[in-house]
Amino acid sequence: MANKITTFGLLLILNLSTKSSNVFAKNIPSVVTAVTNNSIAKLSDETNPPQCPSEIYCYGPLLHTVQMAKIYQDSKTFVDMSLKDTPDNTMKKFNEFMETYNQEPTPEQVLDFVKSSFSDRGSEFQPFTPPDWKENPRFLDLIKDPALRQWGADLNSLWHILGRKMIDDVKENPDKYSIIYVPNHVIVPGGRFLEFYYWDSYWIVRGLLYSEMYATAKGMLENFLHIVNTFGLIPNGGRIYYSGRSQPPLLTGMVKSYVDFSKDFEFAVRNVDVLEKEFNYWMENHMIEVDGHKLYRYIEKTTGPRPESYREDVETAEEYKTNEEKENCYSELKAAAESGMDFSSRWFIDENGTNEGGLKHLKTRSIIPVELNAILYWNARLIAEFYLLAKNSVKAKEFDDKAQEIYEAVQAVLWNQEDGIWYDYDTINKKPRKYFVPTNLAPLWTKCFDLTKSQEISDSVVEYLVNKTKVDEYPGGVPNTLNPTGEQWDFPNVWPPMQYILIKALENLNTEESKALAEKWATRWVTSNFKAYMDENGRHMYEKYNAEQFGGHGGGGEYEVQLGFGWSNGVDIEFLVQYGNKISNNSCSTFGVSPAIKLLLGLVTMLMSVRLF
Amino acid sequence: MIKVILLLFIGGSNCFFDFPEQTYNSPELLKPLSYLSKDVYLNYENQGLRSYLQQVNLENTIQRHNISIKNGSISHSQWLDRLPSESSQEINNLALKFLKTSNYFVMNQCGNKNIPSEECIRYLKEKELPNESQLKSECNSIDNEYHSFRRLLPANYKDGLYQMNKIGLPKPLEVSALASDNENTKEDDDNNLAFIQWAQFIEHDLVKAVVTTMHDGDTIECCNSEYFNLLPRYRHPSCEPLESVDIRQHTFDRKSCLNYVRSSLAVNKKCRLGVPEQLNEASSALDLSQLYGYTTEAQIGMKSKGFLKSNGEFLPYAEIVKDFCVSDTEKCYMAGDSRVNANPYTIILYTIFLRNHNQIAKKLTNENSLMTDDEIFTKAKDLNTRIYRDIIFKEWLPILIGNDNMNKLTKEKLKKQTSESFEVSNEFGVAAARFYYSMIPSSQKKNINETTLFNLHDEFYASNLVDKNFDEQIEGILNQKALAMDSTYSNSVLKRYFATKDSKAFISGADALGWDIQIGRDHGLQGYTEYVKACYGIKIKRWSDLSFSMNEEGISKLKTIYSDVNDIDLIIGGIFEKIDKDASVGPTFNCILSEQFSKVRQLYYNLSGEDVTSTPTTALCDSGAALICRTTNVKTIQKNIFASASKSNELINCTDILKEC
Repeated sequence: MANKITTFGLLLILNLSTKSSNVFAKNIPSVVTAVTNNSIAKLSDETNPPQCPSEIYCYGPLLHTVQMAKIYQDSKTFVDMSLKDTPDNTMKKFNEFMETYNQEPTPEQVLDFVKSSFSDRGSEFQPFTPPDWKENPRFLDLIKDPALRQWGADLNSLWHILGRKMIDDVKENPDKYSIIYVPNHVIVPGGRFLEFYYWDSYWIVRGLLYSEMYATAKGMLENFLHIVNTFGLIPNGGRIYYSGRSQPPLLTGMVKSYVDFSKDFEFAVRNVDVLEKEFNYWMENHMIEVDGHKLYRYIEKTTGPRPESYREDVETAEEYKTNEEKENCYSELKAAAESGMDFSSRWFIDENGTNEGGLKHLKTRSIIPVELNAILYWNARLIAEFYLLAKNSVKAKEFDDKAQEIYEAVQAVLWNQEDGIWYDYDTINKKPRKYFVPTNLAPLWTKCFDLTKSQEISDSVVEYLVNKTKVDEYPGGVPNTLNPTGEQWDFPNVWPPMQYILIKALENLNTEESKALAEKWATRWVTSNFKAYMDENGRHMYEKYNAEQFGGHGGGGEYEVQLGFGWSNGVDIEFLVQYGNKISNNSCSTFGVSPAIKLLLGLVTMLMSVRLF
Repeated sequence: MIKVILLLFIGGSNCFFDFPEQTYNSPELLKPLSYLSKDVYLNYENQGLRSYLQQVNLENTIQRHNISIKNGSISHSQWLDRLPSESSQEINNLALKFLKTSNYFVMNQCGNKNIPSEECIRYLKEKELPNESQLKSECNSIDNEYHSFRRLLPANYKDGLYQMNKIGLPKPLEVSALASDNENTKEDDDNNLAFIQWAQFIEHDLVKAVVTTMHDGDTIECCNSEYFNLLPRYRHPSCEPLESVDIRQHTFDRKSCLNYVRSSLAVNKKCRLGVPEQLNEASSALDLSQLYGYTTEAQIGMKSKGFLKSNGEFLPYAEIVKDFCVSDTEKCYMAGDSRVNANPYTIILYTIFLRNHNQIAKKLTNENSLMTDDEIFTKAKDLNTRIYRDIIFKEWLPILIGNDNMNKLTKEKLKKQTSESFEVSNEFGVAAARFYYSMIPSSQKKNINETTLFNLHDEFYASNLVDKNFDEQIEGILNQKALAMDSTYSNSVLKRYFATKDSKAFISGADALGWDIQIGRDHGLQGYTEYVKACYGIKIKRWSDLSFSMNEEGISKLKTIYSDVNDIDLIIGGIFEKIDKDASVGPTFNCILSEQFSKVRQLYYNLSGEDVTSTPTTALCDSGAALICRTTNVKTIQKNIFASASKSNELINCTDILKEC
C-alpha cells in the first residue's frame, strides 16, 4: 500500500503522523505523573501521553482530587469550567490548598476551592443568534399537516437556542479554558453538550442546510478544517480533553452535503487536501488486518480516565489491579467513546465471546465496526469525486482504488452471506458478531454495496429486520441493540442518527419493499418524536428516544437524558421534508392525548392559522 | 356552609358513599378493536413477555454491580415499612408481564389508530384473553388469595396505563416543604396520642402497599451511598426517587436523592389486560392481621398452641433481625407484620392485643379442658378481634368521621355484594388513611409538660425502650395531646423520618409527606379537586373555589407551589382542609374515610351476617378503657381513651371498670 502513495502524499502522512500521535509532545514532561485510584503511578517514557497537555483539565492531582470528591452529579461540570487565574497560579494555589488540609480536604472544602478558582461552566460563550437564520425556510411548505408544519417551524427556531459564539478571551487566553477555540460560531447539540460534537454535526449541518443557513453550515465546516490543520484529527468534541480521540469521520460527508445544497463546488476543490489529511489520519492510526484485508476500528493511544467522566471511569477500572490493566480498561472506554456509541453491549466481548457482561468486558479495539468501514469507503469515494472536480485525475484514481480496496474488505470480512447482512467482526474470537445494530445496514447508507444486486440484498435485509430480529415491532423506533444493559446505546434506546442510517439504507436499496419500510419507519419516527414534543410541558426534543414507548424518551448510561437536541432536530427536519407531504394529521396529533394537550394543539393550530392568514 | 352542601347531597343521592361508575365517551371508536383476531393478542403477548425478559436481563446487570438496599440505611426502614411477601413478588412478576403486554397493545393498536388510549385501555379490561394465552394460563394457576386496591376514580397516568404524571407538577419535596414548621407545637383540641396510635394500627390492618422487587426478590435501591441519584445505567425501571434539588442546575447538594420504588402490582382477578392495580398485602377485614399475620407463614410464625408466641408479657423477639429492625438491636420484636417496630406506639399497641389474646386463651384453657389448642386459638382470636372491632366502630371512628357521617354510615342498608367491591380503596390506603402523620409530635413526654421520654427520630424501626418503660409510655400516650390535624408536620416525620443511624451520612432522614405525595402519584390517584367533585358535586375551577374547604392562608400557600389548582395532590388537599365540625379531618378525607369504613362494615356483614355498629354501645367492659386496664398496669383511666382526661372525660379506677366484667 505504502508504495502506491505519491511522494507528496507520503511526506504529508509522515508529517501528519508525527503530529497526530505526538501532538502534545512538546508540552509534556518526559515523565508525567498520573493519579489513578488514589495511587500516584509513574509513567515511563514509553507509555502513551495523556489525552491533552493541561495539568488541570487532562490529568494530574487537581483533576483527580476534584473529580473524586464527587461534588457534582455530572463529572463533566468541572472540566467545563474556566480558570479565574493562570494555570500556574491555579496549580500553586491548589498545592497550598492541599497542604492546608493535609492532602485530605473534605468535599465541601474542595467545592470551596473550585468555586474560588473557577468560573461557572458556559462562561466562555456569549449569546448568539446566527445571522443567516430564516423565519420561513422553504422546507416548511413541503409539510402538509398544519400541526407538523408548526413543529417544523419550531425545530427551525431551535437553531437560535443552540447557536454559540466564543468570547474573545478564549482566543487570547486559551489556557484558561478547556474549550477549543474555533473562528466561527457553531450549533451545538444542547443540554450538557455545550460545545460542538464531531459526528453530531453531520445531522446538524444537514438540518441547517434544509433551514437554508448555508453560512452557518459553511462556518462549521471551516472550523473543522481549521481543527484538522491544527490537531491532525477532529476531536470527539470541542474541548481539549476530547482531543485524544476522534468520532466517526463524517467531515467529508458534511462537505458533500454542503456542496450539494449550495452548489459551492469551489469549496470542495479548495479543501479536498484537508479532507485527505483527515482520511489519512484514520488510515494510519486505525487499521487492522484480517485475512490480508485492511479494515479499520476505533482505537486511541492515550493514558488516564476520561477527564469528563473521570470518577465513572476510575470506578469502572476499580476491579483491575495493575496499572496496565487499568490503562487498558480506560483505552477501551475511550475507544468506545470514539465510536460515538458510548456505551453499548456492541463493544462487549465476554469470556464466551458473546455480548453479555458489562463495561469491564469492553473490547472496542478488537471489534471491526461495519459503519466505520462503510464511512471510510464513502470518504474515499467523495475525496475521489472532489479531486475529479479539482481536475486531479491521479489523486482521483488513487482514492477510487482506495475505496475499491475498502469495499472488497467489507464484502469479504463483514458481509454475512447466510444472514444476508453485514456484521461487526470480533478479531479475538475471529468470528462475526451476529447481533442487531442499526449500523449493520451502514454499507447501504454509504452505497458500499453492489447496486446490481439490490433486489437480492433487499430481500435478505428486509427479512432480517422484519422476521429475524423483529425490530419492526417496536412502537417508538428501532432500538440500538436488543440487549438491555442499562447502557445508553442499548435496548430500549432509539437514536436519531441510527434511524437516519436505517431509513437512508432502505431508501438506497430502492426496492418496493425497502421503500415501503423506509416510509413506515420515517412516519413512525416523526410522529413519535412529535408526540414526545407535544406531550411535555416545555416542548422538548430529546437526544434519544425509547423503542417501547410511542412518544417516550430514552434513559440509561452515565448522564441524564439531554434536551435540545441537534441531531434529533436535523433528522426530523430531513424526514419532514422527505415524507411531510404524506404524513397525515390524524395519525399523529389527536390520539391518546390528554384534554390539556388537545387544547394546546388547538391553540397551536389556531396560532398557526393566524400566522398563515 | 359545608353542612348545607352535605345535606343537599344526602338529599339527592341514594347512597352517599357510592362513587360514579366509569362509562365510555366514544364507544364507536373502539369498534375496530372488536374485529382483532386472537393472533394479534398473542403477538402482543409475545412482545410483552420478551420485554419482561429484557427487564430481567437489566436486573441481572444491576445486581452484578451490587446495587441493592444496604442494612441500616434509610432505605432499609422504608423496605420494612413496605416489605413484600414472596407470593406478592410472584404476583408482581406476572402483573408486570400483563402490563408490558398491555403497553404493546395500546402503543401499536390504539396509539396510532385514532383510538383514545384511556378508552382503549378500559376496553382491554373487558376483553377475555384467548385460551392459548400463556399469560392467561399462568394467571389461572396462581393462588387467587391476594388483594388489590380498589379505585374510587379512574387511574390518572400520563400514558393512561402506568407512567407517572410528573410533568408540570411540583416535585414531592418542593410540596412537602410547605408543611415544614419547626415550631410545630399546635396541639389538637381533643385527641391524644392514643387516637393516632390506633390510626396507625388500623392502617397496618387494612393497608400495606408493598414495593416492587427484582424478579428474584432482591431489593431495589435508587440512590447511591452519597444520596445522589444513581447513574442512569444502574437505575431500575421501578425507581422514582425523590429529588430535592433541580439537578439541571448541577447544584452541590448531598441530600438530593431519597429512595422510592414503585409499588407492587396485582394481576387482574379475571386475568385480563388493562390498567394494573396496586397490590394490597392486607384486606378490608378488620381482623388484626397485622398481629396474627396476613400470610400463612407469618401466621404459623406467631402461633404457639392456643397462644400467640410471646416473650413473657412482651412480643416475641425476631430471629432474623434485619427482617424486622434496621439496627442490630437484640430486642427486635416480631409480629404478623414487619411494621410492628415502626415506632414505640405501634409496638405498644401490638403488645396490648398480644396480651389480650393470651389472657383470653389462658382463661379458655382453664375453663374448657376439652377444647383443642387450635379451638382455643381460634376462639381467643375471634374474641380479641371482636373487642378490637367494637372499640374502633364505637369509640374511635365516631371521633374520626364525626357524628353526621357516623349516623349515615350506621343507617346504610346492609346488602350482599361481591368481594371485590370491599377492597380497600387506593385513595384511602395511600392518602386519607395517612391523615394522622400531621398529628405526630416529635417527642413523647413523661407526663404533661415534663421531661422527654424519647425523641421519635431515634426510635424508628429500632426501639429498645418499650419493655423498660411500658407503663410510663402508656401514661404518656393517654395524657399527651396529639398535634393538630393541619397542614404542618413535625420534623420527626418531615425531616428526620427513618433517621439514619449512620453518623457519617450527609442526610438527617427522610420525609414521610414527600413519600406520601410520590406514592399517590405512583398509584395514579386523581388530583384533590376531582375528589371534591366526586364527593360533593362541587367543581373547583379557580383558586378561590377552594374556600369551600380551605382557609385563605392555606390557599395562598398552595398557590406558590402548584401552577394549577387541579394539580393539587390528594394528600395535600386533604391536610390543608378545615376540619369538619365534630370530626377529626376535613370534608374530602372524611368522605374517603367514611366510604372505606362503610365497606368494612358491609364486608363484616357479608362474612358474619352481623352489623358491627348495631350492638349496644354502653358496656364499659367492652371499651378501650377496659382493654387497657386488663392488659397493663394502669390504675386509673379516662372513659374515652382517645382524648386526654378532663372534666368531661373523667378518670375512673380500673378496678371499678373490671369488676363489671
